[in-house]
Amino acid sequence: MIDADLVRQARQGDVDAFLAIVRACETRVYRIGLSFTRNPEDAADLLQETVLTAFRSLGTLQDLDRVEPWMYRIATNHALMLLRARRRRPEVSMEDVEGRFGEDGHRIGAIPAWPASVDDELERRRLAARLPELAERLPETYRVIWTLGDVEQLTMEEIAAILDLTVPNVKSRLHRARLALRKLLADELLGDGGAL
Amino acid sequence: MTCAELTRVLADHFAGQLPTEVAHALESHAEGCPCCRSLVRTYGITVELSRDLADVAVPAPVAERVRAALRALAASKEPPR
Repeated sequence: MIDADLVRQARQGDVDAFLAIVRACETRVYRIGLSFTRNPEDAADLLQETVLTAFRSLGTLQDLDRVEPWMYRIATNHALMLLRARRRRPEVSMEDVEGRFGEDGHRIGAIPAWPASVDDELERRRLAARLPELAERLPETYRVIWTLGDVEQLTMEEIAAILDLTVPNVKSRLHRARLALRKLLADELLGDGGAL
Repeated sequence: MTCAELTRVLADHFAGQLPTEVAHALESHAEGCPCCRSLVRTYGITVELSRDLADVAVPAPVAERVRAALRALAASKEPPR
């Protein structure tokens, strides 16, 4: 965690103190940009924009112990602004993402196993590289929560603070985002045969 | 445990937050239900693949460019708000 004294020094105009804060956050900010834009140049621009915005607005930060989530919130907001200006891919429906169940709670429909090739390291790398593009099909909040939760591995509490959501809400949406991505990956691996 | 119940507790299962008896019920159900067994496995793979994406660092020239931009902003004496 970044020391509040460092934040205080940065607020007094100490650029080196602010740079120390930047060093602690820049990898995640860059990756948030990369995950959303899938473009290294855009991710670099987003990192720079986030850092400059944070420097200009440091005086508005209320809880000096929470400078990191505050930076990620700025990065997420910049990324969302960028995305909203772009043409979006058709979104998947999140309605039946858990599947359909009979009255007895048993699943209706099959979930086929994935091919054994998913255990191969090269195939895993290929599939991982496909995920950001597949995630573009998630509704915006789900995509943000998946990026912060599963890619960046922030805690549910941190994500809730960044997005002004409750922890149960974040947990539920992350779970549903994973189910939707799992289905999109299954469609890639097995063909879009209607399997859940 | 039913398929619906298993689906609802999957996230807690992968976070290691299920009470022992619920975790056992999940495993026991998955053992006898091919669909849920497949769901547990492929949900886990999806989470693992997402985590693999975090293996990216900021390229050095980008980090340098950002520092230079910050120093230029600070030198322009625009005070933090």
